[in-house]
Amino acid sequence: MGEALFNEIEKWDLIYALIGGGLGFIVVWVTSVLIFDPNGIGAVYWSLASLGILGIISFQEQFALASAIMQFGIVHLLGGFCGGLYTGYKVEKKLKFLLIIPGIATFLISFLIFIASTYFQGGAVNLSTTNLLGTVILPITGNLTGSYLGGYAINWPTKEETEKKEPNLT
Amino acid sequence: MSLVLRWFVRAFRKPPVIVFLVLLLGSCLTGYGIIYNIAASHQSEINPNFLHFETDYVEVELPKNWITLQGKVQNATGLFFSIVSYNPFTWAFFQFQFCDENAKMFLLERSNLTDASQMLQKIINDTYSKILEKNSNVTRIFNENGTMTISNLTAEYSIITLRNVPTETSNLHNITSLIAIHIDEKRLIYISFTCDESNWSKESELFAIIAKYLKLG
Repeated sequence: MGEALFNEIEKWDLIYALIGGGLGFIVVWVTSVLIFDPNGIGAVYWSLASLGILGIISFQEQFALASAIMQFGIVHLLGGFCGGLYTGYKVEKKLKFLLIIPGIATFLISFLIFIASTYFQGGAVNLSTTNLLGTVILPITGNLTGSYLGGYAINWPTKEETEKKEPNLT
Repeated sequence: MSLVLRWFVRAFRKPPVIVFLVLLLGSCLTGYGIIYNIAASHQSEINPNFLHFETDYVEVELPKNWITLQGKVQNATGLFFSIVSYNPFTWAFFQFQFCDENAKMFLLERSNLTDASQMLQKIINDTYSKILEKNSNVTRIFNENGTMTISNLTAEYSIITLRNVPTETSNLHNITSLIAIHIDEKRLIYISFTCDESNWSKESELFAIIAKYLKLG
């Protein structure tokens, strides 16, 4: 069964899926900077400062949870969705399998860059102290869910298309 | 209806797009719900512009727009607990430090000090010497010395102004700082409040509120 699946997948399908992953990563990176950058330009910090409640980021555990949940939707789900849209637009067959690739690729690129940036800043990723929910679980869930939703959204037939295929004879 | 609008209407009827939008909006609302809950549950009862911070060693009201960090170190020399709070826009800092009996003895014996006024003098001299190393043109002005009451404890304090203090970006600042120290048998309390000299009259009103409602645990 596995062999049959791989025989049906063409080289270009995999390449398009990987390009989708790259596209997803770009969206993840841009939205992280624009919305969650902690150095004052991120929309979340800017809006908290504008509302005069920037001090709530001092409650680090609770704020990290809120931030991780918002990042799930705005950053990871959106990144995966864009990657999935591209992949779904380019590839029509075996979407169930191929849409894993942009989701995983988006997550892996983001995670590897997170490890590299931590390393170059003089630190090391310690799994016991790393916030697994915010750095692994929610990002990979968001990227994969977004990828499937994007891939199926582009290929989902509209009501009009369904009616054209199955004309109502009654 | 334009073509683009019709395309959007059709796209938003697709179940995957609806699920995507629901998840996106749901995550935003949940996140903001948690943020609202943090703000509401830590709202100061004394002043609507302040947040209430409660730790094992101190309860303190701090301005809502100030970022606060806390740290605790406990080792063979004793227990050191500190809170640092700062306004990222106006360059104002508040620091509270609590040292238990062992830590207090360690700090006093290390520098052969016996009381709060000696420690206050040492901290001011050490700070001035460190800044002098960076800029020899720095000047020090003693504005006020005396005693103040914080959480029913009497603390020795000094208000000093340092002019031409270099910052990380090599700009020169004039800063005014209030440093207060209380020492008793069981503990040492250190409080400092620093801001730009030009903002002192405005920012010191904030410090007055912080000091008034500070409660030691």
